[in-house]
Amino acid sequence: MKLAAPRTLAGALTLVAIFLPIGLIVYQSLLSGAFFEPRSELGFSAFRFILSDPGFWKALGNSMLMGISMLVIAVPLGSFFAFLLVRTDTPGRKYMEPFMLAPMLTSPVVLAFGYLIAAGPVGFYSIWTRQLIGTVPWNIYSPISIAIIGGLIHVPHVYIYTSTALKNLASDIEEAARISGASPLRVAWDVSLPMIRPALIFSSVLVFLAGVETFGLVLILGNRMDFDTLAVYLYKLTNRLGVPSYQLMAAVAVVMLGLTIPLVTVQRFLLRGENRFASLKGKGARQRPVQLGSFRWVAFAIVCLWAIVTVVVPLSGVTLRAFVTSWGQGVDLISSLTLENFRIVFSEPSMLRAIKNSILIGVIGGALSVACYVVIALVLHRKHDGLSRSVDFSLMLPRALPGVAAGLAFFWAFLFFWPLTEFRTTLFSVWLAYTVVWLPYGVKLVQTALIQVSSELEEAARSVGAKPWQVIFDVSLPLVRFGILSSWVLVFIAFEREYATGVYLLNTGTEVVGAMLVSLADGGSINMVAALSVINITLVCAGMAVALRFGIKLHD
Amino acid sequence: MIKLTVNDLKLRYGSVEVLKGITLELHQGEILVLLGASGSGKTTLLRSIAGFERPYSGTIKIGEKFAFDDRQGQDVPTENRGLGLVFQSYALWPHKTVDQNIRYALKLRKLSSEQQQERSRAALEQLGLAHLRERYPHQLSGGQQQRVAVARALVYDPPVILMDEPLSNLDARLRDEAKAWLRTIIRERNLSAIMVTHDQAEALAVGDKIALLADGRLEQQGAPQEIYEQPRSLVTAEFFGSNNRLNGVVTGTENGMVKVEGAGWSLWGRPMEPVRVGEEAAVVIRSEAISLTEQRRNKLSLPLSLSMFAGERWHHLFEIDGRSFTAYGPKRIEPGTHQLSVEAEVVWVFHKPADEAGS
Repeated sequence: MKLAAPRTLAGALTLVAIFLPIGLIVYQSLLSGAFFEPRSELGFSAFRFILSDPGFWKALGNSMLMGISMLVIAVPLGSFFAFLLVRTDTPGRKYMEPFMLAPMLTSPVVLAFGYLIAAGPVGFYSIWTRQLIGTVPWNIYSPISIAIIGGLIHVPHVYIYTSTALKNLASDIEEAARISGASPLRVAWDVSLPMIRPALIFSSVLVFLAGVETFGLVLILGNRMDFDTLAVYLYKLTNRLGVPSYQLMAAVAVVMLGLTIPLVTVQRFLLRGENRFASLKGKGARQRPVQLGSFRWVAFAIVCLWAIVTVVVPLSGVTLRAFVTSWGQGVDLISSLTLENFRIVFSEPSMLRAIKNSILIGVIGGALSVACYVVIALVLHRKHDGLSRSVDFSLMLPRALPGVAAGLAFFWAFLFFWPLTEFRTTLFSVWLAYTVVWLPYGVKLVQTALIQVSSELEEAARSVGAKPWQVIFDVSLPLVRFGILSSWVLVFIAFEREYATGVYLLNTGTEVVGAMLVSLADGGSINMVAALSVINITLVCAGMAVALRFGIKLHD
Repeated sequence: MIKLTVNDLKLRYGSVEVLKGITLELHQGEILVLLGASGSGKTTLLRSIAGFERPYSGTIKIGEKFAFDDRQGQDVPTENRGLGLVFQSYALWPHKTVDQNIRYALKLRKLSSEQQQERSRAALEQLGLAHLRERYPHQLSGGQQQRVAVARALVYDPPVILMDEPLSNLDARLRDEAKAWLRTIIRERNLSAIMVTHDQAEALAVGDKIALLADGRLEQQGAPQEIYEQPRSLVTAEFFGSNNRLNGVVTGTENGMVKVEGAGWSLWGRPMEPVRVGEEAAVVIRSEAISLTEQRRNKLSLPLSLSMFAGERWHHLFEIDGRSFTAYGPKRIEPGTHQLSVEAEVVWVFHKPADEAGS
């Protein structure tokens, strides 16, 4: 059996899955009406309309504000924490890792509801603080608060990359600087920092991109004061105009792509030099922590403060709220404890379906997605032809496509393209959208595993007479079994966290917990929101438990 | 019987010519060693024979069948060439036991389970590995892994076994043992083998024939002793052994011998390629050919700069023309000027390469 034909087919399908939604959005943005209406004409009327809308400009400004707050808050704090926890004798640094990971693994919608419930005007912590000192010194309903929260919850994204770089940094090059006469501070500034600069720049672009794309956080916290980012503006367009205006939504999505594609391209360019720094690995085993003296307790306090504000407050708030009947000024916490909220969730058929579907899409869907990612990774494996290059290049596009826009594009595709129309109200629609949105992440996971297989092991099989497909099934795949299992668990967690991609595909039969939470943002019962959030956290935790059980690293 | 023929093989990576027309033959029962410095093209040549690299011109014939022929557009895929290959890293599959590693090729050839078992057992026993058959590669020592890699490559009786630096991952003492073992195994089974190495001692010990590659070309081919004692080019002469090199001018000829003179010295030597009087020449003398005691017609009077103890003998470093000149001796010698003599027969005279700067 020759592999050329199946390989071309798999590559072509991947390209279709990526370019169909993006092409549809671009095409739709250039029409005067919906793409299925015969009267629609080509032109820039949609862009003219949104560019003349002050609301659009405000949203664009807010997206930028979110991006900048990432740079100003997440990058310095994330790299500072990485330095403290990796290279110094800050107390309790070994126990901080779970806190550093928690905000990354929790759905931003859940965190947003958490802040609303815990620190909103009648939140737990707000009321307790007022009882204590007579006033609440914060107000989460302000653009600045939202920007700060956004920055704080993205500290881990920077931490992950910079701490990995720091861990790989051998202390001998720092010791060489010390012996030449540099103080510890000078060493950090002159040697350590330049060595991890690639990680810093990469994570800066990463969080800026996340900031510009912010959706769930702003949708929930910014609702009451008309604070929109581009993604929220896009989501609310239909409500504002009263009619679904496909061309306007598409135009906003295209503007977002115009912002994100350059950023993703920069990231790709930065990663190209990745190998330059791989040479630093290996020898970094022995590291002597920098002695901070009495400052270590200050450092400890700073890290704890961040963990309390970013992890403990929202998660404890939403969890507590899920177990009380109501909350407000003068409500006694102990006497209102209840399981009623969960009973209500479990008696609502749509909620029950959402939970069932979430598990299904994470476990079965995740497995199927990983199977697709394995096929795509094999298409790219040790090949440098045109097909490989074009698939590799287009893999970065889904990263530039904001979840809401991707969901929208798939919604249209399932609405009007046979044979997809047959599956619109089935979970397949959500699965396909999730699979494409997480394509770059998933393929990268599998590739990381495959790259560990030495090419000589594959050549050895060829030399004893194995055909290319036998090499794949007898050597390559068995050797990456664990890598594929890890990918499955990590994709499960990603799918449980996902919310934006599912909102337009939300239908009877396609409910998932993430999308349900978004749909409850506007006037949903807070009891239900809290209970559903706890269920969402539980699902992610289940994935984490499996990961820990099998020793799967949650990040690289 | 000819087992493998390579004819005018040319290969390039991008615009870099790696193989510039290589022609070789391998006969039944012969061990051919491809020897060369890194970048000489020896591993590329081996990988082309295995079918992992694609030349742009020339032919490769295994037995009577063309495996590669650029004019016919013939390029048989690796798995259909039926060769055996021992990798430098051994490349044992870490998810298979020793037995499974060896049986895989038999399984691909659709042998019955009993036949597989029998052949695998026979191979393992012959190579002294029978007690390791249920182990995984990571449970074996380097030497054992190397033996398994060889067993895996010969269990299906390939017409030719290719070996890419099979000894380079062993430590020095094991390597000497493995050299003898490898040669014995190949001779006993009357196998035909091609081995790549950069180590001249390994090549001289294991090979029946050595092909010296330099810069993508075949520099010289021949039996180990022949290539060591009768180098046809300066490159070959300088590749082997420990050499002294002098630059001078040819000043006379007599009975097929030539006289070369340099700054303060003159020697009679054997022209290894035609040289004319008045021409600049490069002279190569093996260190072991120089005597400190015997008196011959060919003499050099040189000041001693250093004597070093090297275990079984002493290395004496003299100075000539600002270069160092090495001779061996059984004992320490006094500082000062010494008389060195050498047989004209082993003073090899070559053209001085045009690309070398004058002495």
